[in-house]
Amino acid sequence: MQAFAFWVLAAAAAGSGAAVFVVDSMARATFSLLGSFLCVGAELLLIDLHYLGVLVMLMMIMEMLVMAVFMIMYMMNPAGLMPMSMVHNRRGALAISGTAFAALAAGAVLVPWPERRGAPPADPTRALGEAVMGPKMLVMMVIGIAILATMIATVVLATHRGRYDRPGSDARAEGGGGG
Amino acid sequence: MGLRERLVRFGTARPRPFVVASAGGTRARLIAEAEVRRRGWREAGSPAETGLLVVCGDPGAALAEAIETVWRDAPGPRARVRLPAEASAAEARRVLDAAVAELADVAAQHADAQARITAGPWNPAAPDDGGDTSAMDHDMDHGTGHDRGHGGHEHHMMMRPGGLAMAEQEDDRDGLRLDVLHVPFGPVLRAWPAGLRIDTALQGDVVQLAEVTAVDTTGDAPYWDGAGVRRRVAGRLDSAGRLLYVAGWDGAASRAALLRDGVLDGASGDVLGPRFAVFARRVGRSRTLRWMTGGIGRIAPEAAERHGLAARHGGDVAVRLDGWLSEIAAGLPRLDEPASDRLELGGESGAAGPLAVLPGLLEGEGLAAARLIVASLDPDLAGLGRADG
Amino acid sequence: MAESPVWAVVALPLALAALAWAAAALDAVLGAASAGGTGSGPGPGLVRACGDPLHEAVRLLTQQRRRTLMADRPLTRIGVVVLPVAATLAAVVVPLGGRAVADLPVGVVWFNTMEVAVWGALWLTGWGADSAFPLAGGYRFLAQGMAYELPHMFVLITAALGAGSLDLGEIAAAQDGLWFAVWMPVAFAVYLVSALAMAFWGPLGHPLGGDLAGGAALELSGPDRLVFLAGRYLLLTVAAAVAVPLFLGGGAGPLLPAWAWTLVKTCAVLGALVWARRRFPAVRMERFMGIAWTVLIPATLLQMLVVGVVVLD
Repeated sequence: MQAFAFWVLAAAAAGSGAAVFVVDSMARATFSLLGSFLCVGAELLLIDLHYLGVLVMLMMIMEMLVMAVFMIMYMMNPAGLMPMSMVHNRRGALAISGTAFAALAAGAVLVPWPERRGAPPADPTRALGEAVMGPKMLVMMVIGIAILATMIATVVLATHRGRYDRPGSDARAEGGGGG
Repeated sequence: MGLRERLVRFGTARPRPFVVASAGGTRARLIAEAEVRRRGWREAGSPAETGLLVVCGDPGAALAEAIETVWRDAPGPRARVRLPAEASAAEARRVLDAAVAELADVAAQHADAQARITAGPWNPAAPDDGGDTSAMDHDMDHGTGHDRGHGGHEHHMMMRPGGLAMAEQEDDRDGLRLDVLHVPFGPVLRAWPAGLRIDTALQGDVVQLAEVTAVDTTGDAPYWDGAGVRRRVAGRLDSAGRLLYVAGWDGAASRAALLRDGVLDGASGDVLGPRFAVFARRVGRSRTLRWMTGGIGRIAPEAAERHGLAARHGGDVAVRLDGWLSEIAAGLPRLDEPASDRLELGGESGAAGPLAVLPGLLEGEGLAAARLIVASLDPDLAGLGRADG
Repeated sequence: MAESPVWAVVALPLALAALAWAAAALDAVLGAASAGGTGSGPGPGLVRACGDPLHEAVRLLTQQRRRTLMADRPLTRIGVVVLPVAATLAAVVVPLGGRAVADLPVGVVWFNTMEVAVWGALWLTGWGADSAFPLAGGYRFLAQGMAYELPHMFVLITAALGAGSLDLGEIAAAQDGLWFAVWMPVAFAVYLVSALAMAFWGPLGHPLGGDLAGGAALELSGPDRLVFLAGRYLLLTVAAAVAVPLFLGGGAGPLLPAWAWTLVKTCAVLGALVWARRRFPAVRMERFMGIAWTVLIPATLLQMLVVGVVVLD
């Protein structure tokens, strides 16, 4: 059952990944890519890495939608059905991606994978946290907050006006019917 | 009666009418809205979600064309009824009854729906060509946009496959080069001044350019300027209610409409006063509303004077709403007196002033703020001469 | 916790649907009340308004689908369908009477993920119609997401921190005696705001705003619209239901069994959320964003700090 689900998800992930280059609109390409990532997230759920699996889904949805924001910044094309190719530099891209795929696949097949030692931890989420951060947990948390605060403060300080603030709005309002 | 007939009949028993009025159709609109509420129906937010279109007043050629555009794609089962400017409440009742019957006529509605499936959706370009998409199969990596709003008025050169126009690009005030969409606002839009159309150029949701047109104004006397304080108080309540609807406060908007109809029905100020006080307290004290309406659409007093605006038009959207509320409060105790322009409840100074300042106020504002500004000026276009667009 | 019985898998969507239905009926009644409570036909206006959701559902079921030129129909459909699906999937981790349908140890993150899927759903719905107002509505929701999501995540983490677990069942169990809502008031308040935001409801319903003639949902009609609106009520319901294990002690309470307390508390939160629509005007993101990032984020971080200190002790 699990093996079957693995192969179905793997095929779906690869298929929707390939669809990125087949579809003819940026919106469809974005969401094909998202579909691929969601399948990968589900694969992680299959091997009981709940936290990682769900996190991959969460982050990928948000990332793809932030990407969509940038897409529209330059392109107000609802439905995006002016057909456009998602492929550039076809030959070079094929060569690069083919090589990369061959190298990765060869790695997966040729690397001598270690045998499993011991049993999986009772709580993989906790084990993951300790593996990533170890004894530096508190430092990492504080730095994380500090980075966030810095980001917000930088943005607040750097923008003297938002998108909707009108430069010299009072003067223009007084101008009244100006064009 | 088959199952489908039963279901259609059940569903259309409480339709969601969309009420659209011509500039001179204010009276008919009020009658229609009151009748809709009497039946416990809820109005639709847009013509797209409903099959029942109630056309109030006597639309001229341009408005009729806009309504026709909306009607062409209205989802079935659908019915379009008209309420002439001089219609009575009984007529409104009859017209809506007829509409319900028409909506429930399953055989006719089915045929109508079939015909439109064959015809395909509305196309702003010539409806009989536009099949050849292969010729336009561009391999391009930059953006194209297009132009599609409500009211159907398009002006463009390049075409996308299917006949829709493409957007051009223009420099943005943030130093970017962004696509521009040309989107018309009105005249078929809820809580929008009847007969007004504003053609906008949008970058993102920021209005870059706004061009104001009066659609089919006939030069009738504005309904709200009729003799008596009563009419003017009702007019202010109507404006306030529409502004509150645009501000996304449905509850307060329908209370304002209820008070308005109470005033028009001849209720005494003693009865309405306490009810209005509750409403005014809630609206006036809403910090959220003040936060959302403050600082937008600001008109300096000198500018107001220069454009022939009444003094009450000065300030920002929040100030104008407060002005309405205090005018209503002052008018309620003397509803049955004749109006005099000396009092706060002066008649409309004409729509020309508001229309003249609107483009300058809208440019650079977001869509939501732009709608609030229009609603806060609420120009009554009935007073304009035939300044056809 | 034990595996939940099979009947729960059937009961959960039914319970969700019933609550969503009740929310729609309550909204109709409140709407009728603010319109004067009139209405012809059998019974007084308010009672009659209870039937509005049923009439509306049947009306939409029998309505023709509206089509727009050059619409991206597959994407629109995906967007519309994702709404109720994400809401239902989010609900599987909610403990009903002590156990959830799917006993996921990272229930909080799962709920968060399903709620973020709504971003995609709404954006697709707005984009796919090939129409300017829905497009603007879809983007409004992304802006809204940027504003509410960080405070929302910090709030979820705060509750999880208080219990030392990401499992909603364990979080509920950890509130033995003292509800998190009591000693994490800031977190609870921010959660209620983000609940309105994730279901784009009421004051945070600007993506579907009347000023855009219906925003992202403008071009939807017929069954599409029905599924979309049902999905929104389901989301509101799930947002209310998750507040119960997070902040209101889950199924704990005297006399009644756990499932009944969960239901009662969910109804109370849901009622408050529905009522908020009549009480407040819409909030625009261009103004809300500043508050969200300069007030809500620091406030939730401080709340988290307080909870962290308490937990460490």
